[in-house]
Amino acid sequence: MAKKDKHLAAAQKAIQKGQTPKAIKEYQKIVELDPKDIRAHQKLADLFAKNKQNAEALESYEKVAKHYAERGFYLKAIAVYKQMQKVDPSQLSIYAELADLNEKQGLTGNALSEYRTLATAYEKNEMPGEAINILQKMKGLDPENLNVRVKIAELYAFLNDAEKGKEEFEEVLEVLRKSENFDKILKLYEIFMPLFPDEEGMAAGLAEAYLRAGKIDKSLKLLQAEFKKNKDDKNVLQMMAECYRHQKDYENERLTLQHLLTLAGKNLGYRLKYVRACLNQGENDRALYELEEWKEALFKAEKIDSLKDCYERLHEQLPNEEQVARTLKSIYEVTGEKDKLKEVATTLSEDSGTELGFVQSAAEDEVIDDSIMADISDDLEDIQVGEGDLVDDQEEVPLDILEGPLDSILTSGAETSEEVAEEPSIAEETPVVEKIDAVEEIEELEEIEELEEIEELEEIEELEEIEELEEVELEVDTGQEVELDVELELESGDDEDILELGEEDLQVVEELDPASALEEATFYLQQGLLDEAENICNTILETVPDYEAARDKLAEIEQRRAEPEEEEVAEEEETAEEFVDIASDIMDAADGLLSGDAGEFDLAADFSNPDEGKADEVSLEDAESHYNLGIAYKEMGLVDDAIAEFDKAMRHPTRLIDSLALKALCLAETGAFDEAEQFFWAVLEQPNLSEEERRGVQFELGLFYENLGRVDEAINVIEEVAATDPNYRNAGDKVAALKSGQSDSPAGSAGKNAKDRVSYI
Amino acid sequence: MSYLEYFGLELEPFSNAPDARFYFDSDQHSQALLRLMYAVNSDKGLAVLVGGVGNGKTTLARRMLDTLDEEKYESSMLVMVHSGIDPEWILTRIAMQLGIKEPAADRLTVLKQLYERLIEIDNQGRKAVILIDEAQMLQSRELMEEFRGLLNLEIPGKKLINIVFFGLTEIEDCLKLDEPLAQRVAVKYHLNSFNVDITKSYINHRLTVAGAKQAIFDPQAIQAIHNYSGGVPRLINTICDNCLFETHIQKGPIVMPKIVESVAGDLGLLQQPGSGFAETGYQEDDLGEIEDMLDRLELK
Repeated sequence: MAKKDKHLAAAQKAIQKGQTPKAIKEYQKIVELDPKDIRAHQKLADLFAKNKQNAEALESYEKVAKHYAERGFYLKAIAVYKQMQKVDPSQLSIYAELADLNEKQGLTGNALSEYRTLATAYEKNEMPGEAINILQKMKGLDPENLNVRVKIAELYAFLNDAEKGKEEFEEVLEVLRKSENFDKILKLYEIFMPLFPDEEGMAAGLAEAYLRAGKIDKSLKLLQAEFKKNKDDKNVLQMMAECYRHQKDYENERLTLQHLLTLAGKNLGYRLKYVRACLNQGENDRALYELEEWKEALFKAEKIDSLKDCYERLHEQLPNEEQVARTLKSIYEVTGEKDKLKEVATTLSEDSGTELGFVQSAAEDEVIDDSIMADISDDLEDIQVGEGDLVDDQEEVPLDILEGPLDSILTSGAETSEEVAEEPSIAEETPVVEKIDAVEEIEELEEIEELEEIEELEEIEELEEIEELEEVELEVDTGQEVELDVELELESGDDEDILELGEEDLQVVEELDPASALEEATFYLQQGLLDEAENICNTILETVPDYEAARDKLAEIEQRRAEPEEEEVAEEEETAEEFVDIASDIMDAADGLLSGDAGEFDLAADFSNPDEGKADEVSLEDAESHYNLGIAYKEMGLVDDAIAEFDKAMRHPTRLIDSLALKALCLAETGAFDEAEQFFWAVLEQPNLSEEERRGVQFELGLFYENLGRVDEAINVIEEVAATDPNYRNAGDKVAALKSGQSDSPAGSAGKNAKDRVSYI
Repeated sequence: MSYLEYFGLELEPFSNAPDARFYFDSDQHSQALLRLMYAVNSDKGLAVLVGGVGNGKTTLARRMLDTLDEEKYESSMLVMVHSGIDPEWILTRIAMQLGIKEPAADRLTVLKQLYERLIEIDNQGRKAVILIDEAQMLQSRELMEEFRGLLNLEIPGKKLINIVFFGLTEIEDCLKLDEPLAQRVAVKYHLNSFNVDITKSYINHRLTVAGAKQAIFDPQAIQAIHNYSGGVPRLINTICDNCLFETHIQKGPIVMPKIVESVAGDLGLLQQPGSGFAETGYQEDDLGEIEDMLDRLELK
């Protein structure tokens, strides 16, 4: 081995003299003589790198890295690959190796960081397939990271694999919906709208996102465009109505809801919204008509609060309207609001009778069928008993309108309204039938619109019973025999998100109601659908030829058609312009993400998990890995990387002190002496520092001072070490040497005169 | 019993650690110091001392620093320990060493601070001197340009700062990185290895400083030491130290040539030419071999 030593010595000399090419030759001979000397390979690689022979450097480094990796020394391998990365940052395979090794070492954060760079690079180089593979690995490592999933979807779209892209998109959307993060939902749509322009529901989804984010105008524009494509989309219509309501355009809200009701007439949620729109618009008579028509169904659907609210509003507007007062009185009887009951009772004329309640039901405009009210009273009572509060000496009356035979439900023991009225009030939002668990479950399923979907949920046994109720003949005390159609419908409005039990006379929809049809025409006209509006008017006139209002509407339509083109055009242009603006905004957002600029491709920002970044602490295992990796980096001269790893390692208490001390040493190596000194002292101020640790840090600090030529300070700290253990790293001798000026440090020997005048760079 | 006690010595005479007490004022060291001080005192700007490994450059640098009385000189020495520094950083360090407590972050402001400080020093009737040891590590043109910039700080009639480089022969290459700087070198001196007489004086000087009361080395042994060391002070120290230890182990009265042979063998020096270094002067190859030898010894 003497020969090898000779080359080694020659190489050292060459290095010292700065003769890198000569040193390279010597090391090449060394590795030729001893190919297993991995440190020599590494030194050779370092020299190649120093001499800008990058290809040779990478080749040599790779031998070293593979050597370590094959033997399971992942940290060392990582450090070597990191060196390679510095030599040639464009080599993507190095990032892949680094990510893989970090993953193997359990350093997920570091692995993700490398993968992120790699994915960005692949995307930049227009290699979306490769980028997706990397992103899938990232998804596997960090399934909560929505940014990664967004990016995957985006790249699938880029690859024209809309199906997979949409799948990822939906997953992200689902997560965001659950967290009701509408801003992010909006951003998501803005990204994907241009990518999946033809996908059904995208525009409506974006419109909903705008709506929830408060961008009403943009939402409405999109919805109007969607409506023109499909006039039967209940979701679109519902959102349009909501937009109009936000804009306080109650007429259009009402007209939109009216159109919606032509599609889903039995949906009580829509009906209530319609009533409210009428009330908002000041169409009180219309509201009253609707309420009177639907109050029984609404009662049965446990919408008593909504009903009360509507009637109260009506009562304010029409204080002398007896019908309103009567119904309101009945409601108060049910809810047990005595004060309000008395108040409204006084407004009623004497012929209202002494028996407060539903005895007037035989009248043409009966208030509410007393048997139904009795049921509801019983239900409420049942709940009160069930809840074990608010109950006086009430006799428990178990009742469930969905369990008993319908006849008995509708005719069973009506209690006097007096008794009901004396009952204590109940909380407004109290559910009526606690046994209807299924209803509660269904209430949560906001997206489900139709009963058919719900019926598929077989486990909901109550639904079966509901189905049984269909086609049951219902005897109401008006004497009319009607067919009871029990329907469950869900809708997703603001405050009506509840299962509706609708009872409806089927005759209602069959006949053409000229007034309603005319309103429908008005609605179409408002939406700019002149042909549709015209068709409806013509239909009305076919049935009722002398219906003047229809003729007037036709004239209005004609007038709209004849209006100066420029106005129409201007409006259209404005609309088009706004659409362009929206599209432009969207495209801008999307362009940024698609551009592939590293800065734009931010996998960590837009959809980051709100919990991310909170993990200030690392696990013990991770801390060990970061700590060891830091040491590996330090040994290889990658001081900045080493500091980054020590920063991570010190998040765990077990490695805090060591990491601080090593960071101080690293900082000293970089020449950041002041900062290094601060870190040394930070370690010494740690409360849990053991004596052994204290000695170690003090000794290092002493050496640090000595190297800076601050001999007195060096003596002070090393003296402290010697006081506790003079043999610790020969601290006693060191102090003596420093005091006598014979320290190994040149600074120490320069004498008093020179000690502050020598600096090491 | 250590060999110090055995030979009646108070200090270790041949330690390679720099120690001002052992400074050996050889003729060439005196000449070198004289020239370097002349360069400083006459505000020449830049002086360079070149020498091989172990020839006493650092010792001389420290000697010079000690010589520079603080009342007359604002002096400081920077020891380069690695070559990866940048110009701004070295400028900042120089500023700090010259007494600027908080150098600014940007280069231009630091230069302004430096200029003001140098004027202040000059007004005090003192001279600013910066010694750079291991200057061969200044391997970039940018660094050299920075030094040139510093040397341009002057007032009519004189330079405001004097810089002295101490380094291996490679320092010539560094200077060539910036030709205008190379042209500014006012004084350059080469340190050579000792001849046999100086080697003898050197050994005796160190023994005297260490407290020796009598001759410890046989004259023939000194000749042999010179032959094996090639007159390189650091190598002389190493051989002498080992010889004292071996003699002590073998209970010999003084260091005899046989011991020197043995030590030289252990140190791997026997393959070297047996004699004639000092007398014939050194060729480049010879110096290279000597440096090899020193490096090997340091590795051991």
